[in-house]
Amino acid sequence: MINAIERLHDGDATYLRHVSRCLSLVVIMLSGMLSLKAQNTLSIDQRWIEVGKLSTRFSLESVDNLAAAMFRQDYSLTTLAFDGFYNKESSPVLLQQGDGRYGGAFHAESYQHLKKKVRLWGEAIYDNVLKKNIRWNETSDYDLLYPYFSADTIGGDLRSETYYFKGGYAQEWKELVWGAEAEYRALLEYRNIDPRPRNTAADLKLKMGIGWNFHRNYYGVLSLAARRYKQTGSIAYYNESGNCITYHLTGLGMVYARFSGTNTSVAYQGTSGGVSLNILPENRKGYTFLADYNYLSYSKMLSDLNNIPLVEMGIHQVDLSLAWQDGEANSNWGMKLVGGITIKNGTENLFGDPAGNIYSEIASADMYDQLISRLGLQGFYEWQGRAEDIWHLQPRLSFATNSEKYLQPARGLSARHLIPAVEFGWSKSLVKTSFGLRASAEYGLCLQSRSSLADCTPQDSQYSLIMNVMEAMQADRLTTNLDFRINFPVKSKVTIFVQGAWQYYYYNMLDINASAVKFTVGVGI
Amino acid sequence: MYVDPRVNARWHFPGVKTKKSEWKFAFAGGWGMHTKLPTLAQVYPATYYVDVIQLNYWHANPDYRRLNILTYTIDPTNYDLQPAKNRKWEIQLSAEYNKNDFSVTFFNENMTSGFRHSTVCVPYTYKKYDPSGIDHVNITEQPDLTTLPYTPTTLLDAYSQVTNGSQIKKIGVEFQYSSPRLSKIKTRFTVNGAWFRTTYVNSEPMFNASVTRVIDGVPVNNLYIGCYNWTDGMIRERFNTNVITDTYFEKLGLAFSLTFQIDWFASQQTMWRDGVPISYMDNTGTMHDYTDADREDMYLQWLVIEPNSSAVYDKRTTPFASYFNLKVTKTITKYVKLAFFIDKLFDCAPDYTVSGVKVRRNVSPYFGMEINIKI
Amino acid sequence: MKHLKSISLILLSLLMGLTFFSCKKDPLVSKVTVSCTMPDGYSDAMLSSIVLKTKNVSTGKTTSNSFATAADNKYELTLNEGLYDFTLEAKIQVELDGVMRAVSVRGYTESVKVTGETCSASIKLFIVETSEGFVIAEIFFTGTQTPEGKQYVGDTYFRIYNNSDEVQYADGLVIAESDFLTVSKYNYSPDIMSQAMAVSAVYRVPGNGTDYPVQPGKSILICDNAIDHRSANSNSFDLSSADFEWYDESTNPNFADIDNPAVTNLDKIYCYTATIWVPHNRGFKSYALARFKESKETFLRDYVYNYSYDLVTAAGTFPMTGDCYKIPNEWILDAVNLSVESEFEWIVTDPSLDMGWTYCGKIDRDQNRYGKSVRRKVDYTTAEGIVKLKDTNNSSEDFAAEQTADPFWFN
Repeated sequence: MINAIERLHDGDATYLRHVSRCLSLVVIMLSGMLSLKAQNTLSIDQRWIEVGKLSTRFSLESVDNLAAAMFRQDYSLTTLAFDGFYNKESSPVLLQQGDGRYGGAFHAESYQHLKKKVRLWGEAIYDNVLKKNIRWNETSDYDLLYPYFSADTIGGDLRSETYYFKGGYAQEWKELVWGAEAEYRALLEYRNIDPRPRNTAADLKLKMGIGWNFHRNYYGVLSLAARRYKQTGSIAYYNESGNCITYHLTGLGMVYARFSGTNTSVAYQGTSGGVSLNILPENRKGYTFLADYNYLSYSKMLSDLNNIPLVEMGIHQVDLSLAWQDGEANSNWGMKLVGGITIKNGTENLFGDPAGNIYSEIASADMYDQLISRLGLQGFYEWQGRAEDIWHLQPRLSFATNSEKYLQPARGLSARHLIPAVEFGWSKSLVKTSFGLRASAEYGLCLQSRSSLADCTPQDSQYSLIMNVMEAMQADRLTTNLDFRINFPVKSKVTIFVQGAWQYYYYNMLDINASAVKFTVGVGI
Repeated sequence: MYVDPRVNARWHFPGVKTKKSEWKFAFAGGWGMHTKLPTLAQVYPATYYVDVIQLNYWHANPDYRRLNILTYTIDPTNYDLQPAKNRKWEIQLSAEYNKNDFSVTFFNENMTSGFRHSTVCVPYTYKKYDPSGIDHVNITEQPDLTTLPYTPTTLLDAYSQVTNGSQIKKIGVEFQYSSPRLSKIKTRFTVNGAWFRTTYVNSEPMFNASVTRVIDGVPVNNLYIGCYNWTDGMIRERFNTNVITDTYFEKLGLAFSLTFQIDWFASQQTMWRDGVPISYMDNTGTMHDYTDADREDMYLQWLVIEPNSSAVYDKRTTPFASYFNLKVTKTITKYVKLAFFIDKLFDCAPDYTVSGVKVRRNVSPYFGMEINIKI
Repeated sequence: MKHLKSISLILLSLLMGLTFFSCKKDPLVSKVTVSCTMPDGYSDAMLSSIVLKTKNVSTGKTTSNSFATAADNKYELTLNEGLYDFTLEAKIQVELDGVMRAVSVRGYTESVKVTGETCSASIKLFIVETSEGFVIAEIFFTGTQTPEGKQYVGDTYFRIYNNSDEVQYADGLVIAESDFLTVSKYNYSPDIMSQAMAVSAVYRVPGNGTDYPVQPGKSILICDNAIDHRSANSNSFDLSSADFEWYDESTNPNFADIDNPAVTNLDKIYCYTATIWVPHNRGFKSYALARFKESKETFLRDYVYNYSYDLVTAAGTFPMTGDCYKIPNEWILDAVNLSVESEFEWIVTDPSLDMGWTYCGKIDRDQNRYGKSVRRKVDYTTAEGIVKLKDTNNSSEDFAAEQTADPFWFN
């Protein structure tokens, strides 16, 4: 099962970015013959195994895709879990993301195969997190809205609550299969000492798709996705002797000087549309091709000044994946090529003379660009022993680039990384319980980095911010993960599991180390 | 004792039969009165105190300072206050066909004795002591009031009293349509909406003591307070419609409710009022008519409170805006229902132009959860 | 596997190609033609040593451009699109007492929209006149803070300085506060700013003409309450030796002002409020020093200024009206604009009176503004030891902002 929390923090996933991209849930494998048993006769942990096996997930997990959801698993499963997590960096890697997180979450997930070739899936998550020491950022959803935040020099801890719901439906009819999925996330973040931000975000995604069984067991799926995003934020000061300056950042340490000051109420509004084309085999042996394109555009408005659109951003995103998988009785193997590109274009709007609080737009300037690209190659080999013993080995190699540019004054930062990684997993089932272990290590090596910052002196108030962004982008990273999971079937219909994950990462040039721990207790019914 | 009569009547017409079902019509009407009594705070208002400084003598030595204040106590109770009476009548036409219900109602409401706060002006006399003769260098004790010269002076002050005198007139049309639950899509549609027009006016001229200017050391309203023939009126109008679709999946225990809230327009218009006062009271309590020559007087010219532009009285309309609300309810057990709703995630609130200026609208969504437990 | 290789090669090249794809755009620039209108009486003169400063309102950056003399007094430069404030300084040859001298001229235009391929702007120039007589030397308007961190009221002051070489008389000096705020710009109609300043508080020094002489190089201190404030607030000053105070007499004990009988009160000619007047605490209003050229009664009767403007809000456009008094620019001896950087929208005096603005505090309700004042800079000291303060009618240059307030710093 893909970790729901990772997908949840889509807009704010830096710390989870370092958590292994694939799974953080180790699924144990139970004995024996799996393929032909009718699903009703498999026990819950047997079903968890089947669903969580690397050979089941490998081809489809690169993108969050309607086709992937429709063909994700062959068995019905429902899981409820509570988890608690703690993450601490010795000093903040990114000032705008803080240096620690701790909190807890509750999540419920279900995937059902109903009669008449109908599949239904749903998910609900509530989480409550305290984010420590966030500076230069009073806006939520870091990954989505970077770099157009509101900021001040003080910052502090931020409390965050998220509610997430997802529901999906797929139905087969002769050679066709059609499906739809809706996802909704609501976010509330706030702080109880000055400066007091209060951000609420609402994010709705809808997907619809249709698939056609065009050749033997191959399906071609075409799906469309739409998304609507809104965030309103305001910063209050309860100290009667005054406020501090609220800056509106425009990328690479630049601010929109004219409106810096006391414009503390902002609103973000965005819409996105996307299309996805996929070719995949029904039984997972063979070629899988996934291609996604998505375009998101959002604008940031100042609510006190007649909602003027201060800055606007357009994000193009392309994700491609090609995988091949095959297997025999006891073993499975495969290879995958994954790539993607994100292009961001930011525009600043210029305003004329105000009449009262009403400004008219007179011009606009395209100032900010960002380009992120990644290309990776993965392989895996999985072996299933006769003593209900399954192990897998997954080597990975990726190449990633990131470059940001600001037009005037001319500033630019770029970095290229080579990221080799390897993962090893092992699971075993005993008479009354089953357990699994997984260990992985990854090293991001910076091959090349460039920076040019015009008009930037240590006396600027944003100097520490731009230096921090530059160092984080251009550092080498070592990441190691260790996960374990134990399942206890209680009755035939209920299984309890306990899961722990530990992650350690180290930034070579910054001399920052960090560790993250997550502990989950849950039940499957 | 106050009587609130109400009469309602309903007349069902004979039905018109068709192949599938039957058209049923009905006509209804009603008339009634309603009395609203004043609140306790309106019947027993707090005493109003007027404090007037007669002497404010400050000295570097705190022992020699003296402050003398005269206080008037005023009872602003209006012993003639009557309860407000509201008269309403309505007529309704309704139709039903095959479990589809439709009804239209027109109503007219009028209240002439509504409560409002009127300004009452009264002059107050006091002794204005003159400390300029005190030798502040050689003084040895607090100045003695009996030896200080004074001028008897009058100042005007205003307090507010609750009176009857506001009129609220309201007319409107309400309509409602609801369909049966269509079994194929398991959905039921409901459409309702209303149009209102409300007029607020005053029925008497009123004093207005809002001039704060100080000319040559003397506040204008201490000398003169103007009386204006203002209706202080406002006309407000609004028209909105809600379209609600209600889908219920019994097997899953899930209900979805989508609401399209459409505000077609909302408008407001201030009724014209003459900024020139018809009369004014001077600080002896005498009323004078306000003449054109007074507009040249140093103090009286400030009693004219009028806008230079007639555009103040234009009708101001907020145009179309529509919002989309979603509510999902899950029946967990027979006794527990959990609902989650988001309002205004999708909106269509286009920017509009007023006097050449573009006004942008942005709507923040809000969301919440609800749990219903049946005991 | 063969297929995999070829497909992956295609994918790879596609991705690499996209990596190098980037839309580079240059900022849009516009060619601006600036034409100068010469001061009255010098329409034929030629400008020299022309320096044009352009301030980009959106980014807050100022750039300076020098130009050579142009026959038609038109100058061209290229700027990025946006909103700008232009300041022009130059010299013209003027005949004074039969001798040709180079005299400074200046001009200031706000809110120039630079859009499109070409656009134009015009600046009206005026001759910089150094003042002979009284100038406003210091304005303390923020008030002090008590040791508990609360705002304290009553210790604000103005210091007026004799910047000439002769004895001047303070009788009849008028201190006026502007009606308009430098942080809210409206299109007031009728627009009389080039002839008069709209004022909402007017106080005048009494006297028959020779009652209050001020020596060259000396100041008079006019304050709110001329008492020793240190007994109530240890962070404040002792103003009991001030020369004048303004006293707002009120019958309402909620607004009782303090009148020190030892210190002369100013005459209260006009005030917008019936309670106590204090200078705008956050520094959003401008001040002028003037002398009436007509009697007080004529002023109060005939110099009323009725204006109208549109208040545009999200709820609609509301035509508003206002009224106050106006002081003609010829009566004004000195004017100072005050504002705050994050809120500044316009100056509320004619540029010939004061072209710039000064401040205490960088943002609205800045917690660091308390106890600070704006003080006019020292220009030079004469041979006799008399200090001359800088007065080029440009508060941005003439005043030192955010100085620690001290009413007796310079007597």
